[in-house]
Amino acid sequence: MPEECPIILKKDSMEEKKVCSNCKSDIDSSEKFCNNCGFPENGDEKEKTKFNFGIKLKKEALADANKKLKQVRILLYVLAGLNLVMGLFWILNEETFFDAIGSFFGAVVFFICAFWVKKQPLTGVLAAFIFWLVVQSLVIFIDPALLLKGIIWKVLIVGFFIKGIQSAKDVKEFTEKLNRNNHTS
Amino acid sequence: MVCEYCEEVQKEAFNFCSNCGKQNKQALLEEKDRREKGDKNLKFLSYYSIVTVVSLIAYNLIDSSKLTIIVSFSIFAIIDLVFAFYQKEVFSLFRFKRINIKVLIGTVLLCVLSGFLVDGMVDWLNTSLFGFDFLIMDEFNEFSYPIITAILLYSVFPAFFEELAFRGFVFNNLLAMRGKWPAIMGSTFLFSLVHFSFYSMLWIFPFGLFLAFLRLRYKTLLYSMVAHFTHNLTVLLIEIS
Repeated sequence: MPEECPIILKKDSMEEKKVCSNCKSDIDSSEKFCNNCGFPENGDEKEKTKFNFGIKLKKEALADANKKLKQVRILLYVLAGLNLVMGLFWILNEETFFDAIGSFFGAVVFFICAFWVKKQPLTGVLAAFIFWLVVQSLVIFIDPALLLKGIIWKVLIVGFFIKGIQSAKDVKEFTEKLNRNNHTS
Repeated sequence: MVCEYCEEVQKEAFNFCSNCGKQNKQALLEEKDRREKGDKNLKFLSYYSIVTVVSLIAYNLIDSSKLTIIVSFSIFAIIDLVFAFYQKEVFSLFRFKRINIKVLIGTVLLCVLSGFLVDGMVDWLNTSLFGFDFLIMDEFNEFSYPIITAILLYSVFPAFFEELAFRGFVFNNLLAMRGKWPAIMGSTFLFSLVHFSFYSMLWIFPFGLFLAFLRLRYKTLLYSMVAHFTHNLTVLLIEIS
């Protein structure tokens, strides 16, 4: 009967064209794992749990790296804020505007770097770190002993930056891995 | 294609083996390679930044006499050359056949103009901020041939070595690591930082952006070297005259 034909065809194509429930790419029923994302579509429950557990671990690692990057961003906002306050302090103490401009400039650079960290984590953290190191080392011209002033704070900040660089690398790595498994969220 | 773990035949381009579920070994190795290369770029940049900043601080701390100027400039040259030879691909940016005469003339004219602009701005800034103007020649007056020395050390030297470093290997490493914009911004940022003068950032940063653009657009260092040389020479010649 002519009306039945489309139904039969549809049934056939349904059987042949199965899609992966994880990434929606085509998969044959003879294939155990999805060629595209590695999901054990035709595997047993244990394998599916293992796959999902792997995703969960990667997501946790990514969340952790993002958290550390957020801390670096907060540090940059704090540094920018401190520079801004220092600049205002210069002006209020009846110094000329030119004395304050250095601090304002520092504030702007740290603000830009904080935004940059959001867009390009590694480059942003590195730029901020190099800028901070240069500014810190400039005190040598005033008095080399100033390098040791507030050394605990300085060590802490260096620690934050180094952790930030590692986290930025982790964010890239785990985002790539999750992308491959089609789990970007 | 065959999975390297279970030897099952796979589709032409596959990420994961359909039989054992392991990731394509070839792709995995390529990814590892890329990551290691990225780490190498990062280490290279960090070492160069640290060495340059430390040596520049040392240079600024010592009194400038004839001997210290010559020694310091030689040290800067050696540092740049050592880093350049460590990544020899930077020398491929010195190809003369890529030179277009119109672009070259345009670059020279623009840089003469920027030299005049910057000179006027520096004069105005120095007199309004500090009450007097700083002279570049002050540093070179001790030499037997001050003008020739100034041209060599103030125009030729930075044009070659700063371009080799900032538009050369710093730019290359950033480009390989993060792409076009971070390479432009990062190299210019570092370039303006190492001049250790806050006010001069006002013109060094835009000028650095222009040089980075020349490097990116024409894939050669020769234009940016000519540009840097012309700009510095113009500033110097205005002062001498």
